[in-house]
Amino acid sequence: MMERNAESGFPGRMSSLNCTHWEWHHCRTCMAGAYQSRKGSRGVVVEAACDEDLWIWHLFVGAYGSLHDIIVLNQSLLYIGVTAGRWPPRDVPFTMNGITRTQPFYLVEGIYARYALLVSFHPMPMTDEAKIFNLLQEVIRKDFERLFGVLTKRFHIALHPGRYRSVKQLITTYKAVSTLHNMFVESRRDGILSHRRGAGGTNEGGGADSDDESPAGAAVAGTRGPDGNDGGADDGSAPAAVGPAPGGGAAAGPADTFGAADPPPA
Amino acid sequence: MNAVRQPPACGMVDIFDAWGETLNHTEHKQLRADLTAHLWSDHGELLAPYVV
Repeated sequence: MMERNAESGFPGRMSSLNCTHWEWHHCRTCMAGAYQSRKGSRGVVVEAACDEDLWIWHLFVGAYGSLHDIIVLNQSLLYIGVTAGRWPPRDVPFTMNGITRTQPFYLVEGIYARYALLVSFHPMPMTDEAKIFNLLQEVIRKDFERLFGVLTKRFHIALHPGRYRSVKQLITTYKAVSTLHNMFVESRRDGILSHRRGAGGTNEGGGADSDDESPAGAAVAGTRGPDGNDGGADDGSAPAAVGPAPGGGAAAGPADTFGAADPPPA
Repeated sequence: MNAVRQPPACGMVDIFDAWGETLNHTEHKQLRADLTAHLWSDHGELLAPYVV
């Protein structure tokens, strides 16, 4: 994965990180203050990180809908794992501009805090270099938008508001949807590849599976073979069982995602 | 606090080091500057798939 990210111009990039909202239809009135977003709808926040194949590496569901993305990140197991020194792995050095680093990073939007773990775009690009950076960063970061487009297309339960009484049921449902999605990705990994340049393809696609989730239909042989990873959101049951609080959100954090199962080969 | 299944695998010093490294704004700016220079050096090849 790191080699493929390096080919796309972002050596050291792990994945794209972002948040979205899942509306909660049966939110109780007494909980509306916490779960009501700025747009007026009530729901929970879903934080996820995915790569170009739309494999979900990190999932955190259940935070209050009224929370900002930064606060959700600070509550997720991803952030806790990073600040505790358990994640990310430092055994894959990468070189940029003549400087070798060992800490990978995530591509995020501009609203996130200026952490060394996160790389956002230039807020005011004045030079051509900054404009090119913003352009390419946005192109790569759109993997996340594709993820939720594909996810809601495949599983309509994620498209419509959740009709559950408790947040725990919302969390369980979204974990199941994400696990099924990862199974889809894994089962089609030999036939799809969203990275066009690595395949020598073009925006017109023309691969074996042109109807896959790649926006332009680029589909060729994958670079990562199937492995023993059974899904990024498979075993976040411990935090999910805590309850509806943001701290109790379902999370397949770094410890959960990469600890038990072998990650796909880089 | 969130329930963490696994306790930190290192000592408090390492945790504080990781914490400080994660929240380092200077490193963030330097990383982005290096990444910008890296992309600029290959921007012709990187932009080729997106140019019609």
